[in-house]
Amino acid sequence: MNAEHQQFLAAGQRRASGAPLIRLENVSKRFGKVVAVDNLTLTIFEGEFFALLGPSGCGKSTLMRLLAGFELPDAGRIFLGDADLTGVPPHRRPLNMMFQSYALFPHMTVARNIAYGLRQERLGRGEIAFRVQRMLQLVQLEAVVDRRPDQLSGGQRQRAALARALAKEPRVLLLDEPLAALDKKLRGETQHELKEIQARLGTTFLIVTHDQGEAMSMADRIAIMDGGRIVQVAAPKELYEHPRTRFVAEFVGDINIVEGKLIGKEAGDWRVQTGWRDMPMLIRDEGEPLQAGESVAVAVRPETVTMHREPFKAEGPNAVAGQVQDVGFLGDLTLYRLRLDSGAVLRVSRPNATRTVEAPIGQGDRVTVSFAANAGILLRS
Amino acid sequence: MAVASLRERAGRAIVIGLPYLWLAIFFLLPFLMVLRISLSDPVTAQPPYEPVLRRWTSLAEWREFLLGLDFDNFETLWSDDLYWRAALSSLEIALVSTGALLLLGYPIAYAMARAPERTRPLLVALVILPFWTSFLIRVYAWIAILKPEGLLNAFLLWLGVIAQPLAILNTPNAVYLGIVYAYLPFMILPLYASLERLDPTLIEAAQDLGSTPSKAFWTVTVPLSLPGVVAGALLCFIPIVGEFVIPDLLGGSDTLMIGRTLWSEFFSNRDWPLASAVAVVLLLILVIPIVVYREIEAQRWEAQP
Repeated sequence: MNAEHQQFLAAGQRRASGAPLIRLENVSKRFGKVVAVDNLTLTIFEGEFFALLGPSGCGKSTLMRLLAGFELPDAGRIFLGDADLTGVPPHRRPLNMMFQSYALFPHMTVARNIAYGLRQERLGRGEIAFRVQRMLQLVQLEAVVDRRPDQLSGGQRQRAALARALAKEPRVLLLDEPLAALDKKLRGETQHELKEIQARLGTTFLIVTHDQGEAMSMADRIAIMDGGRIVQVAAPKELYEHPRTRFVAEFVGDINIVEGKLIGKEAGDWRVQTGWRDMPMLIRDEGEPLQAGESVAVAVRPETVTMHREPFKAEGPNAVAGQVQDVGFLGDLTLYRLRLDSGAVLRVSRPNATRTVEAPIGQGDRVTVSFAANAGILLRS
Repeated sequence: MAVASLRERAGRAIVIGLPYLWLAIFFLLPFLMVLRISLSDPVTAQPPYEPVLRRWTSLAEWREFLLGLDFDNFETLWSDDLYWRAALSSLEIALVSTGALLLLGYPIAYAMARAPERTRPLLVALVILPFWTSFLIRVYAWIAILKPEGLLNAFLLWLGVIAQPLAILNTPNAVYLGIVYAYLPFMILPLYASLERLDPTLIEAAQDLGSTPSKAFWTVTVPLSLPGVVAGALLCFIPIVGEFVIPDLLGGSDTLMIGRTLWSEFFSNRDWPLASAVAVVLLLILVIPIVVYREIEAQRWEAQP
């Protein structure tokens, strides 16, 4: 268990170091008047666990169908390694897809489903049986080989679909919302399993999801999509801590955002006038090309804000006073909704590090909050 | 609680019992009457068969009645090869027509199921549309089309494809044409129902796993539409075997079909008992394959855990 876990962690920390495997160059796809994918360029590396993340209708599913070959791009080219995939029909593409609905063949047993792709390759009986057996072991479905899909549980169906897609040892596995049909508890376990299987096989995984938690916990890199374009591509940590646009900041995790105006620089920090406080606040300058006088948005994650009950007074340029409006107890966290004296709303979260807190901060309490200069993120408006 | 469950059970019994009652009154009872007539002898009387049970009370009457029944009519069916040939010819015509209907109906149903969702109801309506006109009138219309001086021959002559009018009417070809025309909706509709239900992502999955489009069709689409194929085939085959109107109107005197034989025994020869025997045999011919098929299906489903 321990060694396994270590291996899992090591795999999780592995970053894409392979050669470019998938290259999309200026790919566009229109459906009637709707532009689903808009002049999109993207590189995915060998061995990477890559996530396409975005709200529904952002074009992520279309992008996956373009890769699988079910849709042809109106413009642009798609490469796999050195081969141009653009006009190749789906059955000749060396990548396989795990469908959101699983699309298991209802008239075939689990074993026949997994063998289906191998039979198309005209492999020998022995070879097929061997590889099916190996897949069954990988996804732990040996006990139900002879069942048909309608006799499986949701989790078993999901594994069968995964095994079927992996059986042909594709260069890229496309996963379309692979966990969407599972209940929440199973989803958490399956995330680990997917990650483990990917690490063991070394196959490039490309997952499409609308669930940021899912993408964050599994992917090496995430591409955030909006309106058919990629807004930002980065590792999960980078994406969370350095979102480049307001859309990314709001889509990934919880965040407070306030409009502001840059006043001037002060020892590596920007002085920003915001709606949270009468006096300017100090936000760390991260080298973004910004000009004094420019309108910006200041973003602060709720967990980076410290909070104290009055009469304690927080000092410093980023200290603000307010009143607790609402308290949400989430178990691991408690979420506070504050009404600042300026009238703005600020969300603050605190981990429940001890089991019982004496005199916890409650509704109606006066508090002061503050955050470090480097906790704030400056986003161009 | 117990009372409620009793009432519930009574309610369920009524719901299940009603269709059985219906079948008993309108199917089983008439069949028993036909069976009983088939065991009688023809006479020139009203009704035209003997024996008839006149009083239900005396045991002697019953005895006389039962002794009067015999299997003479079935022996006639067996010994006279007219009935054999009619039955075999009916089965042959039904088999060939059902095959032709399948070949024609499957592509149509497939195209309908793949049509844009908005246009599908219209297409289904078009398939059903002929039912708005009487079946008999539609078959008569075929006479007008197929006769030597009819529309088809006039058109072919005008095209210059033929020099002499073709003799189509009153041939087996006309019967096949009429049957395929009349039964096509019964083939298309069940096929369409099963093809329309088929999840298109299954085809995509098959192609994704390396199947060419045609391989995907044969390994996924066809097996999954098999229930529709069986339903359509039974729905066509069974009534075609007993078909009377189409061979009578479009076929020549040499087109032998069991339904026609039955008709002439009943109305021309007024031999009710023999006609009834034909009807009983016809029913058995049709029921046996259905029962066998159902049995195989049931075993297939049970075999899978």
